[in-house]
Amino acid sequence: MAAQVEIRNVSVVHPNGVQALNDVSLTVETGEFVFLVGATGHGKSTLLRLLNREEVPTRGKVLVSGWDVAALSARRVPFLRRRVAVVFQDFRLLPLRTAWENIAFALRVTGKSHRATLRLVPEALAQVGLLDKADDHPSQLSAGEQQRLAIARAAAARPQLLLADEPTGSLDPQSSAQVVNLLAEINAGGTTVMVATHDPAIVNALRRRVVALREGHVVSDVPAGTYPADLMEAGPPSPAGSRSSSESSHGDDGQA
Amino acid sequence: MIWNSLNFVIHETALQLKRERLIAVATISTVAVLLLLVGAILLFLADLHLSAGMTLGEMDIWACFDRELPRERAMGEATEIGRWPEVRSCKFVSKDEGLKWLHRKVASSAALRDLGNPLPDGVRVWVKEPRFLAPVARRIEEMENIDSVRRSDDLFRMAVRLKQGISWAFVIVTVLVSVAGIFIVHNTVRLSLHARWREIYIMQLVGATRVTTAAPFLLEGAVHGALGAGLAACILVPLHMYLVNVTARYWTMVSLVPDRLMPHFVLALVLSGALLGIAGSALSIRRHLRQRREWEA
Repeated sequence: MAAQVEIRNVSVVHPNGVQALNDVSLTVETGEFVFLVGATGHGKSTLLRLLNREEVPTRGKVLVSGWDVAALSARRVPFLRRRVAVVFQDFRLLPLRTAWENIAFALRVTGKSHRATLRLVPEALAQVGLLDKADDHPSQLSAGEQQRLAIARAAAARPQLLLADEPTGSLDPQSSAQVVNLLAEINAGGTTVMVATHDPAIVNALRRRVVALREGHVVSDVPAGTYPADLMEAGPPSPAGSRSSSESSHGDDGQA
Repeated sequence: MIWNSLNFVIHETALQLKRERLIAVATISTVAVLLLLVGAILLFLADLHLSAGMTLGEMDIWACFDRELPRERAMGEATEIGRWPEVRSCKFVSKDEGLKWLHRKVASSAALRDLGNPLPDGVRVWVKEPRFLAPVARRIEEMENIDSVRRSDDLFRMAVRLKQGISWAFVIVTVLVSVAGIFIVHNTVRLSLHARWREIYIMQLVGATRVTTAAPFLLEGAVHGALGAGLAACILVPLHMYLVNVTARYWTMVSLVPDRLMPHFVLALVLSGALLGIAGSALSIRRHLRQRREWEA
């Protein structure tokens, strides 16, 4: 299998001096499902944000599908983002558009034809079980349904890599299970999936590769693991140490 | 691909115009008021320009031949002047015709009749362009058999100064109004951008290019500007046509932009409005995307 993601000795220091990642190296093969686990503020979101170039590393190299992400010109970034889809904790749906329009919008923006949109949108809605809610606005959907819609939007264009940043953070256990199963289903279709979470339940339920982060370092990498017990007690990062502020400002708190 | 993007841009623009009707109405009416003012000023300046141009076009040179010069030779010299490239037309005026003209001008007084005919043969010359007036007059003066040359210098200078002044006023008004128009559209589009920041963010996140992100806003600006200009034209054109009618009846010496040129004027106004809209939108979207990039960094 070829590497979908290669992170080589990456460090990220934010302008305010906080070190979000410290000499992180990680390889994710094509078609893999990876959980990034760790407490809030330990670098999970920053790592994901490097992969779709919402952030660039201070040191080291990030390769996605062989593309050197940091070296990409601004003109090429949109083409990277067409391969790398993102799902957020706060869904980031467009409130004035229906479920159908939310997915269609994301497809049309990247130049998909009307005909292709007419084919792909119902497929995506059917995959997440929301075909009967195509005309509903996000406000008419439950939180679980909104997250499934966000996943449908991300997966509709068949990305190579799907990043999910705390996708179950706002959901009840039942909806969380549905969302994780959905991500596993998308992964089974060949899409590489990386999920940042601090929810032990979903990690333990799926038993996939688990990469644990603490204060910007990779502290464990288990092929078919569970949520590391020592991380469950981990609180917020130490104030003076190397840690991520970006998770609280951009990631967990919702960025845009 | 390009067609798909174009289709998307048109669809999104139409959707936004429909959704943000209040913002659209506010922008269109503001642009309309602005362009109404500009259009009125520009039309007035064009009318003045035309009137000054007509005055210059009517200017001529009168030259009197030496009294002793035989008529045939005087007529020959007049024909020669008529062949000069700067000369539009040239008319030989015999001393008898000159006297008739003088009688008409001074109401044929008895004293004048007693004098006989004191006038020499002369020539009346019209040049192709006002700038040829002085050099042609000088050249006639330098001719051997010319006694005197007369041209209306003061009127000429005044008309030229007026034309130059109008040209400058034209430039200044256009620049001032363009800046004001861009500023107005810029602020309105900023409101629209503020209302749609989430859409812009999603667009960028799923891989829309900068052109695709900006295009619906540029088109929206163009539509706002063009509609505002169209509205202004709907008020200005009938008003000006009425004015042309009135002046044609009562002030024949005044020349206004003719009605047949109005379609050109409307087209220019609408294009200017659209350009203003695009410039204002471009400024806003550029600023918004730059701020977003800085924020991300």
